[in-house]
Amino acid sequence: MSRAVIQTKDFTKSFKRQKALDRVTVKVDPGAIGLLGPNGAGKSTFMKCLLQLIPHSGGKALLLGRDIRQEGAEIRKRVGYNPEQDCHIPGMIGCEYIAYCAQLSGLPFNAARQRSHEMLDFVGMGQERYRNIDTYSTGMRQRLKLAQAIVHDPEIVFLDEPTNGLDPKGQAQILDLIQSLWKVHGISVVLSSHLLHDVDRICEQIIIISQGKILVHDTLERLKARRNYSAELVLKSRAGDFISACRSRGWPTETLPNGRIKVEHGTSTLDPLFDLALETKVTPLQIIPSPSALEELFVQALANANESA
Amino acid sequence: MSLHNISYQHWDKAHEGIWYRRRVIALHGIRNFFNNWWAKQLVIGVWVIALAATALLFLIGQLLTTDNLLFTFTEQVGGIMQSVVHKLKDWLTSDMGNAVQTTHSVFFYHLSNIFRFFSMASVIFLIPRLIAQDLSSKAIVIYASKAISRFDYFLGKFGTVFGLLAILWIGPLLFVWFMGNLLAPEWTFFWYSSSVLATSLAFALTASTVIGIISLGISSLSTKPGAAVGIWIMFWLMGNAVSTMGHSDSWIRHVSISYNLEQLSRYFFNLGRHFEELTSMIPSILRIWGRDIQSAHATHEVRSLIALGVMALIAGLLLNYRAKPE
Repeated sequence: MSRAVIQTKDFTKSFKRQKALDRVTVKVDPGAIGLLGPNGAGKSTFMKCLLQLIPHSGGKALLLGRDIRQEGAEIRKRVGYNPEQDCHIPGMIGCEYIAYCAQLSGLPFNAARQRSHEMLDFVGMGQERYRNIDTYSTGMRQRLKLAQAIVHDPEIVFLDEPTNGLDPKGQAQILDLIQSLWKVHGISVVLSSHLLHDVDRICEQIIIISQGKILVHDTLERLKARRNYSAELVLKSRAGDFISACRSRGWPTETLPNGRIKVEHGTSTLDPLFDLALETKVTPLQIIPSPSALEELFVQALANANESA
Repeated sequence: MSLHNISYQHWDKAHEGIWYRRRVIALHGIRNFFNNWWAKQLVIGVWVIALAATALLFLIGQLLTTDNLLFTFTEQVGGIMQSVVHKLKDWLTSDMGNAVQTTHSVFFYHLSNIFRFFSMASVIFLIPRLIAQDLSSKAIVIYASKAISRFDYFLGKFGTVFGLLAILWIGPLLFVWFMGNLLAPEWTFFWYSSSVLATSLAFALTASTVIGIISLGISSLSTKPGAAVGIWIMFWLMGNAVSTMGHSDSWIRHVSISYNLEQLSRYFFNLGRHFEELTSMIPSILRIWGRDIQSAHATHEVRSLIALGVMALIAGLLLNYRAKPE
């Protein structure tokens, strides 16, 4: 069995009376891990506390099997962090900055220089690496942040909203790079994002966090198997007949305010819906499957949490 | 296979130790300092002064020889300078050890004060780049995420200030002492002035440490680098202005870092005693000095040491409180 990369017990962070992390207990195996949650859920706080950028208030946490309180510096040798906000040192040249970050992680000067260029190649930066960072576009800065996070070859890298501010093409490129970190190079990735599509695309494990509590932690595969498959239909006519037929099959069905009919058909394909449409001789103008399984899970988890609260 | 699959290599060699990383931070700061044109001029200015001081020491040493340039020059000029040089030549000839130690003490006291001024001025160019810039750009988050503790970060930044003061103060001081004695007609100058060198270094190291800690504290006070410069100038110059308002025995005099360092330097160099001896051998010196002998004595060295300690403590607490990633 593989060693857990993150293990916490009653991990708590309070800002005065506000609990940003509420007795978080989790054990995370190596891999590509998606940390999902609405804004202010505690995703960034969880990362920062693990990295000891801010002190936690209680509980215990092991990162790569080491206690974060006792072996902070040793852990950070093996961990990379890509913060959400811009954190570069003004006035530096791109490649100098990455080499400097490598030296801060303990790489000798020559190795740091060489590796900085390798990492800038890796994140797809060309000649612009010789320019002052202050002149970089958002996309270049995101790449630079990723390069500094991995320049020392960490075992796990924490990425806080790494695709923020990128155009769709840039997003796709960065996500490809992140995906390759785990799949090709074996570096565990913790990706914090509120963009479900990003997480869905590259992560194997999902942690959904809200109001400082972990609501869900499982593999994406297992979570998808748990979902209620549904679809929305736009019908030309005879909507009542179709709804009756659905309900007779035991599928929860409702008419949405926009006139569409939502059917929870419970299977991973739309075939049963097509069969029913043929059977009832109803012509659907449009069938829209659930837009994202993850989105559904996410909304469901939040709804459950709100109910229990 | 895509490009990123080819270029990523794992790093499996040994990492450098913590002192390497601290040194990296310190050297990065010093390199940044030299990016400023004015800062470079300041360093050049200090080294020009060091060369001039070496030349002066050389000329003083040459008084032991017969055809000395300084002697010939003052013979032509006449007046008080001629009297001083004549007396100094007599003293060097009759009691070289005492004369060298005394003249070097007074000389290096003044030289140290000149270098101290330049060092404090240089902090103006350095202070924005110490902590303030890291706070404003959030670069402190990057430092905190690397394998260095906050203490290592502070030590690296302190190394920047200390390294710079070594270039502007300790380095020139060593240069002047070594070259001045090397060019002297007697090798014994090295021996006679060795205690002066030790005193000069002790004072320079003490002052550099205090200036280093205080500048770090002030740099952490603001997230705007410009504001940090303003606070340093206020602290330095306003402190001097406020200090002059108090009477000679008042505690208010100790709000000035310059006053406190001045008191300490007089104590370290034992200026009062050396000056008394110098003026007893060369009375005309008093006319150049323009003040009474008593003013050369350190009067409040303990208070000054306490005041500098308190300043450094407050700066350290501010630094610890302010310089955080969040």
